[in-house]
Amino acid sequence: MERSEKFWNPYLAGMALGLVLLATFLVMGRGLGASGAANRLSIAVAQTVAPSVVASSRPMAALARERRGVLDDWLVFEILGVLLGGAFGAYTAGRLQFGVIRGAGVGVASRLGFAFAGGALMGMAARAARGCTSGQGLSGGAVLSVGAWVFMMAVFAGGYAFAWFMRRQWR
Amino acid sequence: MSLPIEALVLSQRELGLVVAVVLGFGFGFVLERAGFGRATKLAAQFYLTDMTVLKVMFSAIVTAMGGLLVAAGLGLTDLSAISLSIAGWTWLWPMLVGGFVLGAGFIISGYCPGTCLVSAGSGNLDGLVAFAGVVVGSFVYNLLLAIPAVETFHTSGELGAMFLYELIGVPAPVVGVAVAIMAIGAFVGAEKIEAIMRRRRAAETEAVSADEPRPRRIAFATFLALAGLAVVLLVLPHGSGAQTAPVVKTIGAEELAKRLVDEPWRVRVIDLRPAAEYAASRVPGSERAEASGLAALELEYADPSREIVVITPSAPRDLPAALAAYRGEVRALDGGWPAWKAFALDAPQPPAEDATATERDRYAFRGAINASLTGQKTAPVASAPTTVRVQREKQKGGGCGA
Repeated sequence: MERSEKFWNPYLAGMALGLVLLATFLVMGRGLGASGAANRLSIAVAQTVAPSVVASSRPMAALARERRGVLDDWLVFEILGVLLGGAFGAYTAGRLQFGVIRGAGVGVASRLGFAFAGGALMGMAARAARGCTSGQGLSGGAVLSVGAWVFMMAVFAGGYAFAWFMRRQWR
Repeated sequence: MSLPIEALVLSQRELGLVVAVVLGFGFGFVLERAGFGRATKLAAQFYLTDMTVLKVMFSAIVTAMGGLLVAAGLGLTDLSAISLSIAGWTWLWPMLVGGFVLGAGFIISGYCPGTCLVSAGSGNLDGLVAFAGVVVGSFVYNLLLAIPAVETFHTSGELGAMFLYELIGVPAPVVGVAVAIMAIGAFVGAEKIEAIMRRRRAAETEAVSADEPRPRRIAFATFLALAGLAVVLLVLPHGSGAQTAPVVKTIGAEELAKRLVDEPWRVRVIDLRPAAEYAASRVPGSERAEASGLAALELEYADPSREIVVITPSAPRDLPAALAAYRGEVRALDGGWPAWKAFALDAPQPPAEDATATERDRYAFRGAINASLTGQKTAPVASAPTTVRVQREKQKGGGCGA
């Protein structure tokens, strides 16, 4: 079944996104993010599965020691909102539907494999860069942080550099 | 009025978390409507057929940046403080390499860590799997940090709190204008590239292009340009370049004393003076650290709900770089240690006969602090009893006193 492909005008969508970001800045004094919450989730999972691993890793132990628990953090609640907002947006646009999004040149299993591998690379990269496209690129970019702009240019460079190798997946 | 609303991270934290969900909801909703829940649309950015990613990202950055500059220009918020609390610290090499690898992960998975959540929320298994990948990747990187070489890389190229306007040495609004102009240039370029790709595809399929270039897009670009220009005109008279040098946020000795008495669990006092001076006399409940040894405190991971107050040997000019890694508030004691000494350890002058109630209260408070720290009772003051209790202070300050 074809899904609705009607999206907002990119410039208007960007402005709306900018306004959400601005509200986040001014109300909370924070930026929007995603990878920080993924990091906390990973520590929470590791804490229940292999607490000794968490205890022996300095960065993980430091977050796990927090008085309120590793998941009681602004970003974790924020990504909960992202998930709900995404579902709401898709539902109201008539495209909330279970499935796998993939290019014509790739099967479901390899698509999921690529999704996981790419995700894992991004998880590592976001830890190194102290944030992902949301937390570092968008939020840091808007406050004109030097590191954020370096990061963002590097993201585009990395994307274009590897696009050729991935061309069959997205054809 | 001062923004951000600090209560949302401190006393009204629960409300702040509700606000977090609401803001995240807005974020996810807009991303979904922009088409960012679809890997094929995101990946098209890197094949030049659909540059939505670039358009949305730069429009968002320009909008938020403009709004922030206006808010700072109007005095609603402090640009350098809010920028630092959002993202201001630069580690050049991990950010450069991390960005490149993240870009690679982006084209491999079809998402970035935020958009895969949007995709998952709209029912896509690939989005959920990509997010699981991000979670696993974070975990692996945390493990890798145990290797000294990785740790060295992780903290290499540290430039500190570095913003483009400081790097170039011009007022922030000027950089804002430059970024807006650059963005508009990028939009025009993106439209051109998309048009070229459309024509090429049409030629390949020998079909009449059903997807004619839409002049509306150019109209929106112009609209954005005008909005950006309006923002600039509004900002420039107010900007006055006051935001160039990073300001050390300070707290007065009296306010620090009040907080130590009223809510010591919200303050963490770090004393940067030499060990001998610290041993002789210190702020009750404070801990001592070398400026160079702050990294060992792992402030990056410390509970951000406590405000860090730094005690410097003399009036603070610049704070150690490592403090910026802390996610909570950091302030320096205004005037450094001498100010604390003058406030808390020197006996206060009794108020004049015609002093107001506030002055009497302040004297009583200072007297009580002084008495508890020096053991010397100050002259009593004839006024209504103050509401400030110093008992807790006394317990905390065990072994202190000049």
